[in-house]
Amino acid sequence: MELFSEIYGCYFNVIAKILNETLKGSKSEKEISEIITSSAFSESAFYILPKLISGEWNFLKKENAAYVPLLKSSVKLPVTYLEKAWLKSLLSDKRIRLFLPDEQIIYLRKYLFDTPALFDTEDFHYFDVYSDGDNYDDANYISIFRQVLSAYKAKRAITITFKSGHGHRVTGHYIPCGIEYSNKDDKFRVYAVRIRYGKIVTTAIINMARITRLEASKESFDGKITMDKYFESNRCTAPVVIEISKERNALERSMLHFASFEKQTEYNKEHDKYISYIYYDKKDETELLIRILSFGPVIKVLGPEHFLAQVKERVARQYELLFDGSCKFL
Amino acid sequence: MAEFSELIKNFDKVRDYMRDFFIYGFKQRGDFDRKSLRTYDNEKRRIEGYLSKYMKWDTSKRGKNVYISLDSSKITQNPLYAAWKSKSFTNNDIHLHFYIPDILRSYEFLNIEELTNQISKLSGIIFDTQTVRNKANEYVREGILISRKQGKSLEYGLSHDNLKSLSCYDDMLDTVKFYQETAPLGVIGSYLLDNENSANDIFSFKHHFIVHTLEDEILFQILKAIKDKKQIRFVNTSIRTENTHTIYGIPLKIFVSTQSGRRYICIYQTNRGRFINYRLDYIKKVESLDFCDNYDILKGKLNTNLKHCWGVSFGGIHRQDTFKMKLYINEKTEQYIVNRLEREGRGGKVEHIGENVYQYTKEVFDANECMPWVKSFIGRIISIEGASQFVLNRFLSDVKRMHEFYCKEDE
Repeated sequence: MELFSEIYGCYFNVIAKILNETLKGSKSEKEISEIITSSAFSESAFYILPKLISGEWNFLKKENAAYVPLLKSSVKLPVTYLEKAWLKSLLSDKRIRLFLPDEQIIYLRKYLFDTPALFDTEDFHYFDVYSDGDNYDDANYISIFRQVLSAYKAKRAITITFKSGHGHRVTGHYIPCGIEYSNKDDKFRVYAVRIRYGKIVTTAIINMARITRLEASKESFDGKITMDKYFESNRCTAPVVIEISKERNALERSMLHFASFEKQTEYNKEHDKYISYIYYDKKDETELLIRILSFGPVIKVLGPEHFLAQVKERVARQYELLFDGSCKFL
Repeated sequence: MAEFSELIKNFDKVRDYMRDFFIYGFKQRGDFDRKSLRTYDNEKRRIEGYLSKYMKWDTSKRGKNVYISLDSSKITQNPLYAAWKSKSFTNNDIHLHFYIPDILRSYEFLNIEELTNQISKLSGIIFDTQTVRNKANEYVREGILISRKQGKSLEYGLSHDNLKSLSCYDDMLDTVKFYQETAPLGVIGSYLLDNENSANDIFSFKHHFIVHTLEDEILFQILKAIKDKKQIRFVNTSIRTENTHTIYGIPLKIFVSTQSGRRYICIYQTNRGRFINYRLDYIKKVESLDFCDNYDILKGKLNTNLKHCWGVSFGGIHRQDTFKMKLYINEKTEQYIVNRLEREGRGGKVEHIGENVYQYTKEVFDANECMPWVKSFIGRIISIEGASQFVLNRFLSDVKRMHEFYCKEDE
């Protein structure tokens, strides 16, 4: 079994697409080029199209200024051993019951009996995952998850009752528009729009584990639903600007640590340090703050002002706790 | 001079450059001194082709630098999977890849001579039987074809395994859409989705570190050795020091940080009599060696020790420390900080020991590893015990330094 193989490659996939499309009806050179451009790498049309048209890759024949395939049937590969082995590995994951009912899991285990799994979940130790992750064995949680997933796919409104972060019970009509998972938190969240009388009133992010009840809703919304406006309005107005020193391997550690953020980094030759601009969602500001603080003095926050003020406040308080005997906090 | 190709024979070729563009986006052309500038230009061009949407350019006084930048919580599929789909091939490879299955869809089984004749008839290309036999055998090993013995000859047929026949199709697609970003070797899920002409249109992922797919080949080899309970030999190169060592050990578990995405292989080194972790992104080549008789015993020992590992360190001379941290937390208004201690504390004990004072305690092999987490509580730390004197002194000096550059000016 090979992980890096042309069998799964972009070029083979795009040729399969072209063959399947030409099987449905002949395609012009321009249409074939468009398939390549939309499905492959940015320069691929330059390499693939001449080989198809010239016959160096002999899959098409020309009929009345368009192309039809030489092959007789539609192209679709069987599931390979590599893919089956990976699927089998998933069956030991704690979250699998969110997606497959028990009888399907049993069926799959029988079907893949002869296939050795690529790995077992026990082969991995996630040492810093948070301990209050969602309970994937809870039947109620599984049911809620599946209903949310189904409502999302159908773009259907549901009535959700959940416990807010402040402990209040909230009930409303929502249309889910995204499901987010965090490896670190080990939690699912639902992105949704709240609907009242057929209109969007607000957006919401609901922890799946906080949902206590879910029912069908009579509400509906005809327009396009997207969280883009929410993301736009919640993006920071200015990025956090940090200066990274070369000490203690700070550069590599911080570049990896903040790799999940959109950012831009440049080298400041004058100070022999690196400046990084990190863009973030406003609701994650405190999290970003404590992550930066965890680096100590090897990262210095330069701005924006309100972020810097929070850093200064914490550092001042810490200095007082450790070095000022008359600390007012104790 | 070889013509430029988007495709590559060896994944390692693009691995290091892609990592550098993603992690160290501030480097310029002249900073890449591992290989020639021509190599840099070719690899940059290739990566731009794979990731055109995410490549950005910046021009500074030093010159132009190219970097990959994206908010990984907004993407639904790891764009770096594109590199896994760039393997080069010959004309024979591509022809036989499509013609063999196409012919076998019309016949249950064919022997190699019959298959070769049918391919030549349909494609107009003459193949010799040995070439077709080699490809057919390769595809039997991959599971695309099946074979059976008929008298003295071998016959080939098409495998009928497909996702639709495995289980409820829609549920399976949802499963793959989720796990292609969260399970190890998720790129295989991406392969499955490509074959189904589908893509993840449901899930997004927070705290998602996409760059680590670049070491999936190393992970793949190590997982194989773990499955077979075999010792391994690998080449370990520190990117920082550029020193290279050959390491031997028994691979037992993959340690993963969900907060940085870094992955490590935990091995038992017989000559040192201890467990050690090595970063996967520092490993260049893995080979499986002999079967290990006492594998299960070693694994059991590791599992017993896990509860005292804060991260990846098994400690030094002092094999276990009692780490203690006292924090100021307003017990009336800041219960969420206590929740944070419990949630993030990796099984440590949290006690209310006085008015607005809480103590966190945990037995760990290496208390020094706790310090980054400790520093995330800056503003509340009353005292720390259990780390080495050097680290405690450094923490105090760090706070003084931070006070110097953040607060001294204001004062």
